[in-house]
Amino acid sequence: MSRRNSETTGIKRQLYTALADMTWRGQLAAEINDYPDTLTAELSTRYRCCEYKEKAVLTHRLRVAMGLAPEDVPRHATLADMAKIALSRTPKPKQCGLEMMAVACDRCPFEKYIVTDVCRNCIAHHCRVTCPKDAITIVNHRAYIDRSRCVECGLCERSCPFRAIIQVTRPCEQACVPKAIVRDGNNVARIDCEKCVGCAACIPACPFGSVADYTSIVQVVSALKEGRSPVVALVAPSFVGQFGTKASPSALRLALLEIGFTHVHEVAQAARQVAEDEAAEIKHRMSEGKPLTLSSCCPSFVATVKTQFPQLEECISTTPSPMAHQATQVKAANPAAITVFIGPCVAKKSEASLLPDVDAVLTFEEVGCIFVARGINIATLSGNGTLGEGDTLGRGFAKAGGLTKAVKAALGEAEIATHLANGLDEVLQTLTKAKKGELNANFVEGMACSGGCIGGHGTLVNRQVTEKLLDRYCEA
Amino acid sequence: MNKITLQFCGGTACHMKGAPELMAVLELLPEQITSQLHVSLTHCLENCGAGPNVRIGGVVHSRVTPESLIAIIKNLAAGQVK
Ligand code: FES
Repeated sequence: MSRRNSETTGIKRQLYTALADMTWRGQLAAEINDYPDTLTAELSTRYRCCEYKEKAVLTHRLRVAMGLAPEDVPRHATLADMAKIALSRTPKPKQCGLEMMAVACDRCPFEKYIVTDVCRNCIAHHCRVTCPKDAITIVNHRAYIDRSRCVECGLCERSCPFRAIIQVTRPCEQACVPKAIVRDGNNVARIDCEKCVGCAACIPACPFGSVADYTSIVQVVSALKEGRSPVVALVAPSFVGQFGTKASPSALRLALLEIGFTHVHEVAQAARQVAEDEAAEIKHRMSEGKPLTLSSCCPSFVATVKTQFPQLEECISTTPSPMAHQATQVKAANPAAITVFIGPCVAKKSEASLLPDVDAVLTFEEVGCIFVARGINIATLSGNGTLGEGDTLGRGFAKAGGLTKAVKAALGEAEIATHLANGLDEVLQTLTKAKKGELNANFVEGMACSGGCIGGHGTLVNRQVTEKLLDRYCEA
Repeated sequence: MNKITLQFCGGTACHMKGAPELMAVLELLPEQITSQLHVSLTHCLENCGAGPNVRIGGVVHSRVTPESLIAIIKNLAAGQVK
């Protein structure tokens, strides 16, 4: 997500790179206590009220980046203490993968409707007349909303001919389709993990950078450094073009080997098998009189079904996702291997937390930071080949519609009605229809991110750019 | 008229520091300016710690931001007209 919030993204990447560097040098616990000082000195602009707040926020950012939740660390733990805890952990992601850092939240105004300077204290006073709760009075020649009466119905906003009353929504709430962001008594935003589907849309949405996802950077880098067990990279199909047009797929392979991965696989390989299995499952279900099957690849889609449409849960395909499938194969061949899924997706971290065969998940952004920390420039590595084994249909999973295409190919002659739900808004519409029995489809491909995985929040380039490169790679 | 040469660094360090965003900025410029540009991509401008780097008319600029890039280009383009 380099296209928005470049400032907060920049700081995040700087932290990730520093963590990877300190871990690789074996100096994490020794140096991390001083890091907030170093960084605040380096960043010439100050974002918070004072240096102390700035450093407090950085401390929490570092904690989250080390994969630690507040309850994982004792009160008053120093960053060095946290580093030791992080290093002693096996790399396993958390189920609720996102944290709204209370210190970083700016407690944006809670009032939903605000009277602006545009108010002319007109004669008609449509706002006052329409308000069903008599919450509007005129104070100082201007409409005034009594918060104790206001029920946030929005009638006043619509009634004002000058549009002097506006609706303000917090960016995090606005971005959250499942409405999982709530406020506590002090107006601090909080994520309701029961409702959160892990899509991570709130991360780029918050201009204060208060939402962060837990990472396994420290744990993976230390496993790569130790080299005691083989560390296997399972790379998602959407990797194409993520590290720039100068970074070829085979150069990415070399770069991953260079930082210590012992094997590199394309998850596209497993994707193909997933399509075959899912096709068989659809056929089988239809023969049993169950006309609808929902795809299981996208963890946020699956979470949306489970949390908001429990009556449809039975329709979710039981075929494991390509990530799960590939990891199981690797573990079957070598149980000692550490499997690291590398992809565009933050929600995969939550999915992996429940899968015994996936040890860690890194986003492309996180791996990119590890490359920088290790001084690796993929653009200077050579090669024209592929990243690993894979075929056209499996590689196509990266894009919305790719799964459907592969499933249809696997079905051969058998005709089924398919439906693509592209992005969380469409997912909700589709599932609402399905719930009412109004959806004419035997198979729904649900993708929480618009455009599919290449639109994921852990990507590094705009999906319009990667789409073309992906098409070319699929045909190669 | 000589074209203004812009060489973006496509190395990993610069990529992670926002080179794709910089390149995207070019699309915001008016046609009369973009027509004067000759844009290319290189592997590394050997200043990886201070990226994103762009070589503009032979000079390497470091820590380039979208705003500073537009300013540099507009300046050079204005100079060309005279
Ligand atoms: S990667 Fe850009 S200067 Fe080296």
